[in-house]
Amino acid sequence: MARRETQDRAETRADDDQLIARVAAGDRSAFDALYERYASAVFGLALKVLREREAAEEAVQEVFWRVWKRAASFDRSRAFAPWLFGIAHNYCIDELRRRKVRPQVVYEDDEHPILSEIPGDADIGAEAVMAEQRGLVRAALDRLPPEQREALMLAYFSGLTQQEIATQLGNPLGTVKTRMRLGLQKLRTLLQGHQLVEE
Amino acid sequence: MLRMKETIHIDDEAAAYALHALPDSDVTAVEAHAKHCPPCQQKLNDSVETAQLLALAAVAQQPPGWCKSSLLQRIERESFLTRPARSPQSRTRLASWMPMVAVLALFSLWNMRMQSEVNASRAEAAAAQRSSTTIQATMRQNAMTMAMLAQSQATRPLSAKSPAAQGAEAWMHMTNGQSGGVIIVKNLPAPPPGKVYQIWVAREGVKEPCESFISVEPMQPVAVHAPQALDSYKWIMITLEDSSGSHAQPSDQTILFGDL
Repeated sequence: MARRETQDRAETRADDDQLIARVAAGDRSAFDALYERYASAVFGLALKVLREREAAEEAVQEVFWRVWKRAASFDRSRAFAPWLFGIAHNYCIDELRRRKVRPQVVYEDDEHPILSEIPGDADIGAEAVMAEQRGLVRAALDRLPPEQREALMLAYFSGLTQQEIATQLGNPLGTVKTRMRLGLQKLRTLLQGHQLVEE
Repeated sequence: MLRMKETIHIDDEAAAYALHALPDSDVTAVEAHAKHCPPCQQKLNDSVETAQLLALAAVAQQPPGWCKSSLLQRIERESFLTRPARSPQSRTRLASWMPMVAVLALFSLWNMRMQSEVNASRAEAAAAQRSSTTIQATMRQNAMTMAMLAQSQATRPLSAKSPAAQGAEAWMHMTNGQSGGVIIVKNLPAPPPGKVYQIWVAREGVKEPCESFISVEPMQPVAVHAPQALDSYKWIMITLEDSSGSHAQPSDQTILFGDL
């Protein structure tokens, strides 16, 4: 089962590699396919960080616009999805800080069944792989000590700096730094076990 | 602010860097250090790779369809603007004035058709005289619009602000110091029954209604007459209003919006 999932992920990555190479050459149908594959993930991230539908809609357009413009500079030795998520996260955090908005993090996704996340006209095969990856990331997060998970989530989804997290939680700055480092290390180890990141 | 020596490696900072939890000044210091320290660069890459997967912890949701169409239009527009031309200057000018050229051509055809109608009506009985007068008035108005277009010095784009305007675009052609101008509206669907599109010009604390119209053509010119010079305003917008309304204030339904 795990071997099959790994194979599916490898195929999805190969597809992504081909698509982004075609996008770099100006192929709009390839861009369309990448959009269909990842727009829901980017929109979900933008909604969670920005907490405003209109801003998230703008984010989706801007992020994919950057993908279109920067496709030629994409390092093909790396996977497309983390690169895309990096662009999306950078944009959302910059936007969040620009607005000086500090929404509270909410990490209660269990009540959203996976099926409701699958868009009707998306690339179902790729979406299934994404759903599986989402499950693995969430499961890995659940296995972190709560204080480490909290530090990661406050930084990643609420755009708080180490100092702001320390202030908000009433912890020393050094404690927050350690939690962040240990949390990310453990997360990496857990995801390596599923070949989601390289060993 | 971090002060990194060559003997001190990134440890806590790599995670914070990957999570965007460092202040800007420390980001620069971390990047500068990693640039000359392969182990730290590797640590940074690993942390970034891991952190980026946190995006998958968010619940995926499908964005509305107009996001994609708006994005594809932006790409189409950019592709048009960057299409190779004889020189960069002529490329920019061509792109900027293409809608106007198209409308002028449209007007020419329209006026030719009108002229033949006028000739025909002149040959008819006196009852047709009123019709001829109306057509000539339209021609005069068209000629004025053409003149305003030909004299315009600046073009300002308006972009869609509502799903109702999905695929629509507009350009305001104006001349410094002049209160009259022309908006060329492209692909704006006809308003719902009982509604009209209303043009507004605005600046801080001021919103002035101008012409209202009902779009019927794929590319339609609309003359605009503002109370003061158009370049004395900061914004222009098109809203959807009740056709029977007083239009003292714009509704919340902004369809197209642009800076002047």
